[in-house]
Amino acid sequence: MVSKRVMIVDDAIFMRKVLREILTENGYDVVGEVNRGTDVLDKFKDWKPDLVTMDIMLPGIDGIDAVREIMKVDKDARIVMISALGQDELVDEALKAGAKGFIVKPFIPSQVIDVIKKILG
Amino acid sequence: MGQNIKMTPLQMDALKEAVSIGAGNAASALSKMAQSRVNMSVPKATIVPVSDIPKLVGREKDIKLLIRVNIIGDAPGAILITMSMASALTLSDILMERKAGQTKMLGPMDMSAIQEVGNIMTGNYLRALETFLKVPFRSSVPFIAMDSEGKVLSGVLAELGQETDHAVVIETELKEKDHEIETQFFLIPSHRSLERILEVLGVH
Repeated sequence: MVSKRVMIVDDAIFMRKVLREILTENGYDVVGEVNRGTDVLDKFKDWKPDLVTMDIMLPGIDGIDAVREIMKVDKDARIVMISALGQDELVDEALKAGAKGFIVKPFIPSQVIDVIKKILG
Repeated sequence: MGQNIKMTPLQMDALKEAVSIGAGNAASALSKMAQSRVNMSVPKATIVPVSDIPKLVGREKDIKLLIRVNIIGDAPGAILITMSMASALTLSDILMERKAGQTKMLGPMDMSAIQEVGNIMTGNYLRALETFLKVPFRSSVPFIAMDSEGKVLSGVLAELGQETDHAVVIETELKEKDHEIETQFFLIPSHRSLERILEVLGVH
């Protein structure tokens, strides 16, 4: 069975490491990592991931605008927002922009995988 | 400026309750990150003049780790989290699942991990304070720096001191197995925000 391909977007190197470990330990293929909002669209087009994990707060353009950019080129894109506590309004905005779900930090691996499985079907 | 705000025991209890809830949430959050139980001592909360913060942070010769988060929106201000280098190295041992004392220097990954801790703990504190005080708090991305001789702290306080005179200080100790970390958490609201907080607590 072909592994689902995931692109990680987060400016924190530590969070990218945590997510990468959770995903690879659960059989997902991390095709690439992005640390700036302004690089998201180009990398999305290059890597064509099955799913994107997107930090809500990014340097350059923020995660919500990055979601909008992706949705313009691929309305079926599957994006999961990564947020911290107290960012409910931002999460709502991201969901309206086209994100399919969210995970609140700090997360435990099983919660991440459950959300991703639901989105990927 | 330069005077402590006097609160009644009941008002101080209300503030401490809000702070305790936030601290408990922050400890739970850190436990999840560390994938290990983290206990937090009962936090001490006081309101002090901003000018007293350097004295509370400690000796200027020591290198400290400083995390700053801006609070934006209806109740603007800032949060400062400080810890000694020893505590920062210990925290990195926990987050990176290393043995106690293994981290000798903070590299980019360690700084990123600690910055994320600051982000998460801030979110938990603010959510508790928001619920208790009915004051909306929204935070920015944290800025992290190693501060030798208090220069970064002085710069931050000089900037914040233009908008405010007082800060809420929360001192607490974190324990995870054999690791102990001491942190100081300063909530520095603008004049307007502090007035709102004090109004909710019943101080005018």
